[in-house]
Amino acid sequence: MWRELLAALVIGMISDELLGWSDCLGRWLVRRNARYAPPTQSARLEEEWLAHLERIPGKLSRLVFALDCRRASFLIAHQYYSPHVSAWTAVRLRAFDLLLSLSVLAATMPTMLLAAFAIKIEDGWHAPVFDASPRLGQGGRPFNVLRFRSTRLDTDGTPTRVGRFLRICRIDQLPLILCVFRGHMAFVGPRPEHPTRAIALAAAIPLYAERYKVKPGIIGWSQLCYPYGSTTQDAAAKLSYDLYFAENMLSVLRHIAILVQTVTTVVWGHRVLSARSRRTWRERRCLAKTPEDRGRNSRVEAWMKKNRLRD
Amino acid sequence: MGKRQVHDVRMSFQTMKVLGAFLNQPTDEFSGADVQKISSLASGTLYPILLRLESAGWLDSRWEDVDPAHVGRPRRRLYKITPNGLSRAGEVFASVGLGALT
Repeated sequence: MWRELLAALVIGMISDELLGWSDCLGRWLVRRNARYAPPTQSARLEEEWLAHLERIPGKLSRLVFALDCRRASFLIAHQYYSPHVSAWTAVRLRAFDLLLSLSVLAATMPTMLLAAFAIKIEDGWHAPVFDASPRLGQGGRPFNVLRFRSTRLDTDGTPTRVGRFLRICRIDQLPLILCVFRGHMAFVGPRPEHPTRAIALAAAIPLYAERYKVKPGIIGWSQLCYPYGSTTQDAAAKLSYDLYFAENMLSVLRHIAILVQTVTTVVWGHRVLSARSRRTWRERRCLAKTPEDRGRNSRVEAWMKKNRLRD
Repeated sequence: MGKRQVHDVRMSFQTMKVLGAFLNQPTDEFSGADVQKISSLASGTLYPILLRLESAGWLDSRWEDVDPAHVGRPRRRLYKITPNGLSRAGEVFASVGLGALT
């Protein structure tokens, strides 16, 4: 008897607490969810939604409204950045990234735990496991790229013994999957750039900011098509592939195709895709797309031709 | 990143519900909450439609003329249908009939 009474008392206290805080919680959720909208619109949407929130009578409906603002932000961001593809494509892509990152995380969890443990053992219990460095994400919003820390804490750039091993096995890159899981990155997309370099490139290359329409990715279409290079000219050439990707390759099947092609080019030891397979991609696109899409490509292609970037 | 203009508005049942709310009183201004009351759409559906219609030039929006500190609540964003939107929405409803909403 007294057990039921105690349970009822605890449930009553918790629900009373939740009811009391529900207004705060609703406002917090709205503020948080408005941040997922494009940066130019998030301030307006936050104020607009907070005003709307005040006019909803029930506490539960207020919470539902606040939660649903996440969906609104997702759709608004999608129709702002890539209105030429269906919103379902964005949903499918996010589901693909989420599922694949979860399965890769599950598969590599023992390795990652061991790596984290090794870093902790070498540098002490309070040493950080991850190395966070800023990059620009979708909409130019900064986020932190996570890697396993492979350098020593006191000096600049000297690798630790564990770090050297992690780098050779490429295990230090595994936490990138966490960035995908959190939604900052996708598996396939333009490589994220450091903010200072991105600003310099945007000043030097026209249309450079257009590449932030899509989420940055671990594997890029431009990495598959263009050999490694770090000059501004290289960045411009890669940009043409990134823009082509952003306009034409937003679908789960094409992302899978790029992942597979990346694996095969690495396995066969080629540095990039052959010119023939690249041409096939182009021809396939010309056949499949509507005239309106071709018009959109021609803007990028005219600019590519002007800069002699045609392959 | 230039703001891309969406010229074609993809018609859906939900979009028509939103337009129907404006067509009943074309001279009035509605906040998002008013439109929601009439159209009974969830916020995750309503706001993307409102912003898409606005970027296509069918709706116009402005902040309410009040001082938030004075009235003790945040400003509302008020939407109004534009003459262009009115004629375009009229065409849509002429082709399917207003009865489609009920």
